[in-house]
Amino acid sequence: MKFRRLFDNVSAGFLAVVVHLLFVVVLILSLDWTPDRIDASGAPTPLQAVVVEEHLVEAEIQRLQEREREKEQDEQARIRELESKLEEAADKRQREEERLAELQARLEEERQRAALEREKRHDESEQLAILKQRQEEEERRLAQLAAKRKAEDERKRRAEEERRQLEEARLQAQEDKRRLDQENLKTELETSRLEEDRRRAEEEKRLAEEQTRQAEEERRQAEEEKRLAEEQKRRAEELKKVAEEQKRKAEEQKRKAEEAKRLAEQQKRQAEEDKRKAEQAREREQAELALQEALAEEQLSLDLTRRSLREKAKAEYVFQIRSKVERNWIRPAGTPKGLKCLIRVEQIPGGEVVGTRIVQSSGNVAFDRSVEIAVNKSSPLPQPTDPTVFARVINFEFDPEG
Amino acid sequence: MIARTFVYLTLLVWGSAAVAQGELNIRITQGLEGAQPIAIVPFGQGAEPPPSDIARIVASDLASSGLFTPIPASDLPGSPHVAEDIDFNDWRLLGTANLVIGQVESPSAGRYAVEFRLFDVFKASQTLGYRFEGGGGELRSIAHRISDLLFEHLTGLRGAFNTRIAYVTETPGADGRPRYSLNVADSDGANWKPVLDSRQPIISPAWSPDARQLAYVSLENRRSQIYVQDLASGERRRVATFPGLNGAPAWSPDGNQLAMTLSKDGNPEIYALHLATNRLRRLTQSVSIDTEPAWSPDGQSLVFTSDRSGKPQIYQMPAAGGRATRLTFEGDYNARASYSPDGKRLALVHADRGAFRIATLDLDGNTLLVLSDGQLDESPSFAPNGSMILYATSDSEGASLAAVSADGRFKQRLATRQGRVREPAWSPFRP
Repeated sequence: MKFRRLFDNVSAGFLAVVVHLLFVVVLILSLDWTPDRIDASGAPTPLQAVVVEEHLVEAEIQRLQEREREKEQDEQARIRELESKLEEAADKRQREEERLAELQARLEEERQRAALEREKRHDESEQLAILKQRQEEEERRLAQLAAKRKAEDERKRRAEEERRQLEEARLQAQEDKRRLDQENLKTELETSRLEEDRRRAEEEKRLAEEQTRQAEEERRQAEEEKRLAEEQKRRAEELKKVAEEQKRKAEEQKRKAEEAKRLAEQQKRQAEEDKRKAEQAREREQAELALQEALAEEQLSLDLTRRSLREKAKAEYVFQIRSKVERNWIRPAGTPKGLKCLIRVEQIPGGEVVGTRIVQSSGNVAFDRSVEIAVNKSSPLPQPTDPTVFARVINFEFDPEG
Repeated sequence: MIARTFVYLTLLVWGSAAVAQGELNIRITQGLEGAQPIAIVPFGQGAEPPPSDIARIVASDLASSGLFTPIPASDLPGSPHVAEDIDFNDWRLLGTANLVIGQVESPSAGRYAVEFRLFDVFKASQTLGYRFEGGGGELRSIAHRISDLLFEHLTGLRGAFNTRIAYVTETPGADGRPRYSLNVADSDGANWKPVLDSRQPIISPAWSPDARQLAYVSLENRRSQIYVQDLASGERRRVATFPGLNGAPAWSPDGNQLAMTLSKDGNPEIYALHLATNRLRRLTQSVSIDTEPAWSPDGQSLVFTSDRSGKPQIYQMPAAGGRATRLTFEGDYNARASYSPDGKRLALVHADRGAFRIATLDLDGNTLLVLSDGQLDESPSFAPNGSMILYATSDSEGASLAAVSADGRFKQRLATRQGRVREPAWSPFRP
């Protein structure tokens, strides 16, 4: 019996070690992701995608835990049943109780040790968590969850272990008690010995069956854990893929951002170029306008000079004509005051008067006639110094009162 | 900047527009006021010279108006008588615009055909041309008619050359006593003939509006009496023989009344006598002398001389009589007023620094213009076209007729019958 208990302990420990190793591997796989590369993404968007994944994982984990808890509860119910039986036996046997208490104390000690162990493990996982702090938050949380689950599993396994040990101890105690009973009450229980044996055999058989069932359960659990690990690995890979995708996306974004930046710079450069060109064009235009204005002014000045010369020539021309016509005008004597006559005179180059027409008569025949004569007598009219001031038509206003 | 450019452009456009227009406007304000030169070529004539030199009479007429200066025949570049003979360039060089040519033919003995043409030298075209026929005695009249036509064509004014004048001459008689004659002559003083001779003074002849009759004052009966005489028939009638003074007859424009001065009611007053009815109306009521009435051309008013202010001055009153308005204020003596044909002026005798001179009073501006320069000028009357004023002037050599252009620029003496010439009157236009 002792050997079997030991073996059981060894196998349980081995299992525990394997499970731990698995978690370590998972952690290492998680740690493989370089934090700086994740950091490079910078953007929170990809993390949100992981959050969705995390929910799934969490749900899964919770589901598993739920199942575990159910199982545990079932197990605990059975243990309680067994304990009640044990108590019954204890009631019967006072002495055995003490040993049981001793065993229980030992179990307690064992439990404390396991708790310490758990704590230690927990510290380890914390350390690991610290190590992973640089990692992205989602990954860390995932890892923590994994660690938590691992701790839970560990605790559960330990509970199982303890329970089994307890069972072992109890069974041992029962055995011892029965042996003692057999020894002590050999005589008086001789008659019921067969009965006892049979009952014990049945008990043993039942225990064996129980053990088989437990082993089965453990195997199933191991498988489940393996599946979970695989699932985790898959999720990790998925996460990695997501991360890579994120990284790719980030890079894409970065590239795009760079492209956009490049474009923006190009646009800015273009805009500056345009502005510069516009400025140049404006300056050119202003220069052009200034030049035109200067030219216009020069032209005007030239024109004014020319015009002033021309005006002078014209004034001279007018003076010459007027003088000659006035010399030739004999204003009729005795004509009333206020007479005015407008005569349109046509001349040809050379000054010869070729036509006269009284445009506005003075109303006095003699006056009009004198005007006509004065103009005709003045033919050929004086020539201008500047031929451009020559006027083919001259309108004379004869106004002696003016 | 745009605005300035716009201004430049406007200036340029304006400047070029002025060039493109090609018209100059020149104002003539100075001109020698004077007579227009006119070339009157001596008329061509046949073998028998006519009794009158038409060209000379015409030149004299035009010159007397003061508006024309006939170019002396010797200065003329040629003597064409027909249009074909005119070289207009020569006449242009002379600088005269008006060229008159003509000729006198004698189709039969004592009969003459006169034609004349007026050319515009610068236009080289005839502007006027007429033909007349008449006996030798009518040639002067024909000449005056030509003068009238030329004058009217060149001045727009009706010519008054073919009108007559009446004047009185005083000549010493064989018995040493003076003889008085009322004479009628052409406007240039020529062709005169007496219509009345008398041993007593004849004064104040006045032409009827139809120029057929003369009213005058004769003292032939040793007292002043007013007669109206028909010139064609020589018949006359006495129209005013009122007690006292009968003087200064003046025809109303319609010829129905004579305004006159009568002293029958005491001192000389103005009366109007209706010739057909002999009805007399007194027009002035004053204690002073009112005399020398004259009708306005429209017959609405009368001017007269009155000394009611102490000195003789001209007054105006309605033709029906009534309140008189003094017109002259310049000088101590203004008398013998008569209206110009247009009714805008008066011709009157004005005492100017001791000399009696002919003056005009502008009724619009009330300005007095002295025209004559004699010492004792009297009896002014307008030519019927208003261009001249006829008057009598006295100097050391005697008294004679003179005419002055209405602006006073041109004066001339008129040839008259021998003797002391007084009381001239220019006839109206002949109907």
